[in-house]
Amino acid sequence: MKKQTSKFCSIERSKIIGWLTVPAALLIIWQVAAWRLDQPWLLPAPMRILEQLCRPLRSHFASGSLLSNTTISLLRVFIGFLFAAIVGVSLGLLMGSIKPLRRWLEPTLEILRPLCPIAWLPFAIVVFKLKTLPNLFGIQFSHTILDQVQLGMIFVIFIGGFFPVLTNTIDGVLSVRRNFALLAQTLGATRTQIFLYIHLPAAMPHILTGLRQGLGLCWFVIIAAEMMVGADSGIGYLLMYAADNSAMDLVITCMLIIGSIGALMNFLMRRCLYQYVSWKGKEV
Amino acid sequence: MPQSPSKNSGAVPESILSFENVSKTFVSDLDREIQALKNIHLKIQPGRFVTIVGATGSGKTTLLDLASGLLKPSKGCIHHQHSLNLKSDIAYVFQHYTLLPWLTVLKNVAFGLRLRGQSYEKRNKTAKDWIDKVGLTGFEKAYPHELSGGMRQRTAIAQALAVEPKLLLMDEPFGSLDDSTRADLQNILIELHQQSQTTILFVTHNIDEAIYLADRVIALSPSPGTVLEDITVDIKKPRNRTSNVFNELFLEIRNIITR
Repeated sequence: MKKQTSKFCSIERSKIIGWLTVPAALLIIWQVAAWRLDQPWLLPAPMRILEQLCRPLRSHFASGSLLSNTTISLLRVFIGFLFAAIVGVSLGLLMGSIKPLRRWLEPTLEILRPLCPIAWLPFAIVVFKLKTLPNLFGIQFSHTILDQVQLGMIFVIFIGGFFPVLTNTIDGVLSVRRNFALLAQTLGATRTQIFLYIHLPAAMPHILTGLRQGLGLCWFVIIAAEMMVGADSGIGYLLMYAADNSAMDLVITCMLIIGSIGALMNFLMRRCLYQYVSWKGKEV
Repeated sequence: MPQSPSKNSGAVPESILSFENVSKTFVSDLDREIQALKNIHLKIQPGRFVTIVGATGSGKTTLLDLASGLLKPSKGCIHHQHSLNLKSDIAYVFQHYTLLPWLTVLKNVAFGLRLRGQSYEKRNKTAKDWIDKVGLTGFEKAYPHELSGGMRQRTAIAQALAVEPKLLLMDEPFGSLDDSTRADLQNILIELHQQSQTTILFVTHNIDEAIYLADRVIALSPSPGTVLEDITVDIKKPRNRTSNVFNELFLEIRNIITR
């Protein structure tokens, strides 16, 4: 066991060095370019970005800090994604298992699916106005961060996450090997048992892939939505606002944060979820 | 399903499974009719080990699918013993994908019992007993993809027998194993059969295997499958593959099949 740990560490160390090479090279090129150009409003030096990152609580142009705007974006994404996951997985399981339902809904969904989630934004703003999540429960101002969670935003994120989750779940149910269901059937399983013990676990790898893709797309969509006219908070909004004010250091800082959070989400989804479906691709 | 009244006197036990003039025809994608089985008459006595031997395309798997109730015959009828419950008294070991890849060996073996609503402790205890019996002690927590082909088939046998089926159907379960593993598993299966009252219907294309295992060998002709010969094997188990009786029988069956 001890030997395994040390081996694990040495692999990790060499890997980490490998990962760091390219960013380090880019950083050097960037530093040199910034120094030669000497125009911080076009290309600020890396140190300026680090400076911004070190002060996440500082308020920018009265539009909030890096931390508050990032938290707002994350909160919107998680609420929207939660709805997308619940509706997408449930509807996907139903559509995968019930052929008439699939035939009935598929044409409509196929038309809606290629539509960019951002294209829903004007529609969502008109329908939901500027209603927020607390408004839904009759609370005018909750005086919490939830006042920043507009229903229109949630709707657009829902649309973004819903389709990857739905299509992957349907594919998952449809790709279940017939033998697995037959095995359960010959052992006396009822229809409900075949669904719970065969279709659901067999489709799980696809479902988890759908959730991972869905969350990634939600993060894409929220940034774009926050950069649109009408938004007044969120990391995407801060990025746009900084650009309007020629604060390129803040723009790059926001970009770095957005990229890192996206990568972290993907990494965590892989780590947490994939250990439950390690069998996939090794069926025998 | 119509049940024929048993006309047998007490001396002959009621057959657990009988095929009466059964034919099965499939319709292919191109609307062509393919007859898999033709006019099959068969009576299986309870507790017997019966092997069905025939070339590929002789409808062996179709015969098992009909016996399990997964398929319905196109013509004729299939009777099961009155007391036999199609849902809970039959187990089926397939040739491929016999185990659920997301479950450990223990959970795979306990799966049938779980479907029957047995408590966690009770089904795990039974499953452990069966894992011991097939010689897989220590592999309870392993997943199917971590096992060798032979170990997977041991698990499949334990999974099927754990529900104590009255009728066990096996479709070339040892078809993809090497000779020595195959021989080990054949001996385990004979032993387990002798300890239980289970009736086994075992399909194979291997004549040696058919004779080694069975009390009775049924030879099928290729497409459409018909019963060519029904041979009772009266050699005491464990059988000696090099004995004269064994080899005479082997040649006899080979001549029948390749005729």
